[in-house]
Amino acid sequence: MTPRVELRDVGKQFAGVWVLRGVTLTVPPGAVLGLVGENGAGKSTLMNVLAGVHRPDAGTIRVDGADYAPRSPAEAAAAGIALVHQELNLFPNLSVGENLFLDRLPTKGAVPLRRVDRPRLRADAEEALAVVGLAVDPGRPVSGLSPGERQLVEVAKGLAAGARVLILDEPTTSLTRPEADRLFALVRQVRAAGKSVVYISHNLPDVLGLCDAVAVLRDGALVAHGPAGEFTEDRLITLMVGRQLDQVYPQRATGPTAEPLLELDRLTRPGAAPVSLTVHRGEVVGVAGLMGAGRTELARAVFGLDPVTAGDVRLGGELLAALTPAARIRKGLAFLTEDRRGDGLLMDAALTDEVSLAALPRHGPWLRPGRLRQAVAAAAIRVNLSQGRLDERTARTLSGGNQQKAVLAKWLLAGPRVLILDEPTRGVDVGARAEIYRTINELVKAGLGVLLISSEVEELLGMRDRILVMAGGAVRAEFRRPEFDREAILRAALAGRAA
Amino acid sequence: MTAGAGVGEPRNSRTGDLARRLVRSEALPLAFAAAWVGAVAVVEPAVLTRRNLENVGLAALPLLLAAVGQLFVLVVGGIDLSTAAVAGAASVAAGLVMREVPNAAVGVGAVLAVGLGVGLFHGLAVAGLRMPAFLVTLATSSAVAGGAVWATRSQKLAGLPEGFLSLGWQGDLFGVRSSVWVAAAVVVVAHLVLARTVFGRQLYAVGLNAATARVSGVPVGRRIAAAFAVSGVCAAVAGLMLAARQKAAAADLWRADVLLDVLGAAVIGGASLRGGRGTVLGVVVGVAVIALIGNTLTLLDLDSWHVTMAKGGLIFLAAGLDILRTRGDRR
Repeated sequence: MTPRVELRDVGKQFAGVWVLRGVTLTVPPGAVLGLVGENGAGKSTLMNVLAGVHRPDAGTIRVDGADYAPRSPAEAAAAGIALVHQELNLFPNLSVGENLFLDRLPTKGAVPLRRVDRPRLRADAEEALAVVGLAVDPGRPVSGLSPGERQLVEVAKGLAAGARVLILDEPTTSLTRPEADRLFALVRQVRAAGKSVVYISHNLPDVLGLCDAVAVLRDGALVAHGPAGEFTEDRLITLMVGRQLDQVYPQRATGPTAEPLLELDRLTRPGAAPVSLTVHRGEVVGVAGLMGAGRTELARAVFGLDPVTAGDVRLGGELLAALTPAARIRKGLAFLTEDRRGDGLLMDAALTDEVSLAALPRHGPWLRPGRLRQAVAAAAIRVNLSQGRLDERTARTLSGGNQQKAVLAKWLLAGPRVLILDEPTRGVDVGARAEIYRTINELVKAGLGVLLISSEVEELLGMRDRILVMAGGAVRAEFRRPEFDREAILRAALAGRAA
Repeated sequence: MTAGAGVGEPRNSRTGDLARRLVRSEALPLAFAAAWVGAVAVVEPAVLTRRNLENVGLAALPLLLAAVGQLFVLVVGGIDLSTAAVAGAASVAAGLVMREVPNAAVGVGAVLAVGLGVGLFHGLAVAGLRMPAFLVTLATSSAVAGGAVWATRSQKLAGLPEGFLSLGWQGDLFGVRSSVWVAAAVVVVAHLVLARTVFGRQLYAVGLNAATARVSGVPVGRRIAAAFAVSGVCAAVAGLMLAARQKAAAADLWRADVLLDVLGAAVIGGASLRGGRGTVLGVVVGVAVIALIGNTLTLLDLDSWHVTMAKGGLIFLAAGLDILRTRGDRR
């Protein structure tokens, strides 16, 4: 039988880095394939290639035996491939019916008076919704629907467009259990109708329960592919993780002290569980977890960027509650954010201005440009950022690694006691990575405390003194040095999902 | 996908850098203005007489003040459309209080109070309530101008105290007019604040990326509010000057279309409506360009609508230059 989808040696690179390599995979008609892997393993990239968002840089794809090389999501949709995104792609202000048929609204009348054929739209929409068993009025705006209902609308949209392959990317993240079960029933029904489904999820019990076959991605390559019956949850975790600690992580000679620096005492964000944790002088505390586990949100709350409803943050015993970010920086807190371009850097300022920004209040009110330039140059040397004339280049002209070093230099210049690093090596090449790790070690040696948020378990294992695992907004587990076990860490991170 | 977008390709082109620096500097509009005036002088030598240049310079002083104030707001990424209304209202407030207390200091106090009050109100609405600056300043513009007309029954308020006129326009100090001193002081202070203080540096940071500025410890809301306050005060002082020059306060001292001159001068001088760019020196050059274009075309016996058309075209070109300057900068 001709496979519905056949990927052969598919590869994809971004800026010279292969994020997907030699993926060969088939999905038969009427089958559900589960796709699992750690964050950054290449799952979403692979599906974006399949759905026409990205074009592959290597390999070929065939759909029902015919060559398939979509140049846009619209072409992919026309070929019968529908992608239901992690973040839903519906327009909340439009009605359910309009969302379902947005790209081909039925019309009536001749050109000057052409208008939407409302009765037909309603009839078509009702038919499409009946397929997924969703009993809502097609005239209702999507904003009034629950997350589960929206998910079903997305599926209905794909099916109504004549999809032969339905890709679901983390569909249950925001669903309640009954809503998820309803979705699974729908997936089985779609399969029974001879269509194929690719199901991406971190929820391994769901994957094993729902899928006919499972494929495991790691570092952009396929490491296992077979019938679901051949896998257990434990084996999947081992396959997702299993690689060696490489030489990127430099040894640290010093260990943590017993002196607490940053203390969170039942710090509570709106709608999240209280979090308590302590970072000591000279300690790197890793925070593991999946995307959406609440780690970035926690860091923002600690830094005073987002509101908290209860609990305390102390720095060196001093209460930080009610202080602005500016005041917290003065007290010695620093925050390297996960989104360099969004809120980490002034992309278009001269590097001197960018790197000195957080330390400015200590150099005021009148600026002495010469002294500032010297201070910036010194900080740049500490992070090994040697990019010529810092007062002429802008961050935009730097590589990802050097951009991150610039952010690090900015915080060093502010003279912090505790550094919160949120995904400090995302989009950073291996060489710059090692230099960032080396800088972290030097800081810790000098008595700073570091809270290291990372989605890469390897990075946490390489850099940490302790690892906390967050899931669903709360700290679920803590691992101390002798008992590090990457499988246990991943299991704890996944546990929040299954709950 | 972050994987692709996160890694920027380093660009390096010397000629590109040079061209970039040229279009970014204030030298370009200055050279343009000089060439233009030189060319006109061939046909009409009266342009380069001392008397003409003095007149042009003096007439442009209120515009210079308003444009410097506008620059602060543009730097933080906002816009202030209330210039003309605030200038008129400030002069009216001064005229009214000085009817009761004929004292220049009281009049100046009223001018500053109106400018600061309206400016802070703008800042509060834009920074605190996150309302769009465009709409907020347009709305207060209408309200303030209406209020000033109502308070004066749309009459001019003549008979301003001698001290006020002297301070605002023609008083003499060391052989130079008081209005020149005032404008020079504002320009120098504004330049020092923007170029040489932490406060100024933070204003640029807010305009370039408010989210980054906030994470980096810049009190973003207060900086935005301060920028609008500066703009309000500058517009009010421009109103004081205009009133002193024509020896009467009035709600319509300035026609609303002076706004195009204000924004045009700032943009010609290198400010960007997208925030984070512009210098006081540039604004001075921009005001000079605007003033000289108007003056030279008038001397060439062109009608006022020709002048307006030429200015419009020029500002359009400057806006194009702004795109050229920041192209590739933004996402």
